[in-house]
Amino acid sequence: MSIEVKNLSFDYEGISVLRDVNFQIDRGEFIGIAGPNGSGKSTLARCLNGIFSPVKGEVVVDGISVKDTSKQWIIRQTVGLVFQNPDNQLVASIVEEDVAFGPENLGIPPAIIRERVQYALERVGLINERKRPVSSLSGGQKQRVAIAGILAMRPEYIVLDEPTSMLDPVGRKEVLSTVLQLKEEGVGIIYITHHLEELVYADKIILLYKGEVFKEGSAREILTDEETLTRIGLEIPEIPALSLRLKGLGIDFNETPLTIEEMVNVLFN
Amino acid sequence: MAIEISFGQYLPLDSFIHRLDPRIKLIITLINIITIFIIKDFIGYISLACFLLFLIVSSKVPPLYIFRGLKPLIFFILLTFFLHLFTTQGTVIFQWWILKGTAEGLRNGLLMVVRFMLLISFSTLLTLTCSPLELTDAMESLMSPLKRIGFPAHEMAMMMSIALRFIPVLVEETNRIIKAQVARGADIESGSIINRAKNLIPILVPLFVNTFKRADDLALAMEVRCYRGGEGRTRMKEYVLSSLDFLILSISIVIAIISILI
Ligand SMILES: Nc1ncnc2c1ncn2[C@@H]1O[C@H](COP(=O)(O)OP(=O)(O)OP(=O)(O)O)[C@@H](O)[C@H]1O
Ligand SMILES: [Mg+2]
Repeated sequence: MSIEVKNLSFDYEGISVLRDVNFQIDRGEFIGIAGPNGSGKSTLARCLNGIFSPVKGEVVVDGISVKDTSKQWIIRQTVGLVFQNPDNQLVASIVEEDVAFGPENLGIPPAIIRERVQYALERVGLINERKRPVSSLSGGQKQRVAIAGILAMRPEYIVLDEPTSMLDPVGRKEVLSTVLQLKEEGVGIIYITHHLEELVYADKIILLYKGEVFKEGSAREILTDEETLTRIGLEIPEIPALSLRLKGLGIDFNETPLTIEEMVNVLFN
Repeated sequence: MAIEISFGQYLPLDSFIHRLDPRIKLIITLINIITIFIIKDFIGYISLACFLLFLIVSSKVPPLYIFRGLKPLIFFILLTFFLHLFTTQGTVIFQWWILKGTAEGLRNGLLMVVRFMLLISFSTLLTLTCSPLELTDAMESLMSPLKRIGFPAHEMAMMMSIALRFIPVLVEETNRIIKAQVARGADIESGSIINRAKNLIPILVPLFVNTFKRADDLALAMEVRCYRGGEGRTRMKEYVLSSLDFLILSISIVIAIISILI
C-alpha cells in the first residue's frame, strides 16, 4: 500500500510548474519535501489527493489513480491535507464540531462520528479542549485541531504543507511531535517545510527546485550536503552545519550527527 | 481604537434551558418576537416579561450578560423614546424650548422602550444558551421543508456558521491592520467625517484582500475534507425532541396567547 508518483507533470494554463516528478511513499513512512519559494511544493501536495489532476504521468493512491473521478472521495479521505494557515482551515467555531466536519461530509452515522472525534482529539492531545472555541486556542493547538480534523476521516497518508511556518517555536514542536507519533502509528507522512531541521527524522528527503526533483536521499545525505542546499537557496540546519565544521577541524564521524542527542553521543562516548 | 464584539457569545452552562432542543428555543424566540409586535398594551408585556425572567433564571445565565446585550443599543432606544415623546400629537404635559411632550407620546415612547428591551433580551438569551452550531443547525432543520421549492437551506446555514466562525478572526485582523497603519502614521480618529471615511481605505483594502485569500484557503480546506454540499451529509449532534421540549413550547404558546388577549 503506497502512494506512487510516476513521471508527474503539472502546469497552470500552459506554465509548467512540475516536471517529471517520481517518488513513492509507503504507509508509516515519513517523507520530507523542501525547496525554495515557487518550486512547486504546494502544487505537488495538491496533486497527491487529486485536487489537481496530473497533466502528464500518474499519481496512484493504494492502487487507485487520482484521475479516476468516480473515486475522488475515497482518495481525498485516504490522503488528508493540512495547510499552512491554522485559521483558514478550521470550519466550525468549536473544536469538536470542527473535527466532526470531515466525517459528517462522509455521511458516517452520528455515533461513529463521536467515536472518531474522540479518537482524533486524543491522538493530538486536545481531548480536554474539545468544547473550547477555536478562536481561544494557540496557533499550535489550532494546527493540531486541523490535524485531528483530518485524522477523524481515518486517512492512510497525511500531507502537511508548511504546517509550522506560522507558528512560534512551542507550537512548532507540538505539531512536529504529533506528526512523528502518527508516523509511528503507521500513517504515511509527507511533510513540506522550509525549516530543514524539522526533517531530521525523515526517512527520505526530496529537494524540489523549479518544479523538478533536484536531489533525493536519506536525511543524513541531504541535510549534510551543504553545497546542494546552498545552491537551491536553502539553509543548512544548525547541528548538521556544526557537524561539518567539526569534520573540517579533523573530527571523524561514522555518521554525521543531525540532532543534539546524536552530537552529544558521538562527542562524549 | 479596538473593536469588540460581544453579541452572540455562547455561555456553555448546565441548565435545562441549555439542554432544550435548539429548534424549540428558536421557535419560542420567534413566537415571543411576534407576540411583542402584536401586543399593544403594558399588561401584555408584563406577562411576557415574567416569562423572560423565568427563562433567564432557569438558564442560570447571569443577568449581567443580558444587560451587556442591551448596552450597545441604549442610545438607539433612548432616541426612539424621545422621538415618540415629542412627535406624538395629544395633550401636552410639559414643554421645553420648542419641544412639547405629550401624554400619548410618553405612553408610546415607553411602549417602544419595553418592546426593544424585551426583543433584545429574548434574542440575547437565545444566543447565550445555544452554540452557533446549534443555532445554524436549528435554522437549517426548520427551513429544510423549503428545500423542496428550491430554497438553499443547507447553504444558508453553512454560510451563517462560517460567518460566525470568522467574526473573531476578522475582528482580530482589523485591529492588527489598524495598529499597523497607525504605526505608519495614519490618523484614523480625527478630522472631518469625509476625511475619516477616507482614512478607512487603508484599513479596508488590506482587510478585503486578506478576506478573499482566506475564503480561497477555506474553500480548499473544505474540499479536501470531502465537503460536497448538504446531500448525504450526516451530523455529529443528533437532536431528539423530549417531552420537556413540548412542555416548554406549550407554555410559551399559552403565554403568548394570554399576553395578546389580556
Ligand atoms: N493558481 C495558480 N495559477 C498560476 N500559477 C500558479 C498558481 N499557483 C501557483 N502558481 C505558480 O506555480 C509555481 C509553484 O507554486 P507553488 O505554490 O506550488 O510553490 P511552493 O513551492 O509551494 O512555494 P511556497 O514556498 O511559496 O509555498 C509558482 O511559480 C507559482 O507562481
Ligand atoms: Mg506553498
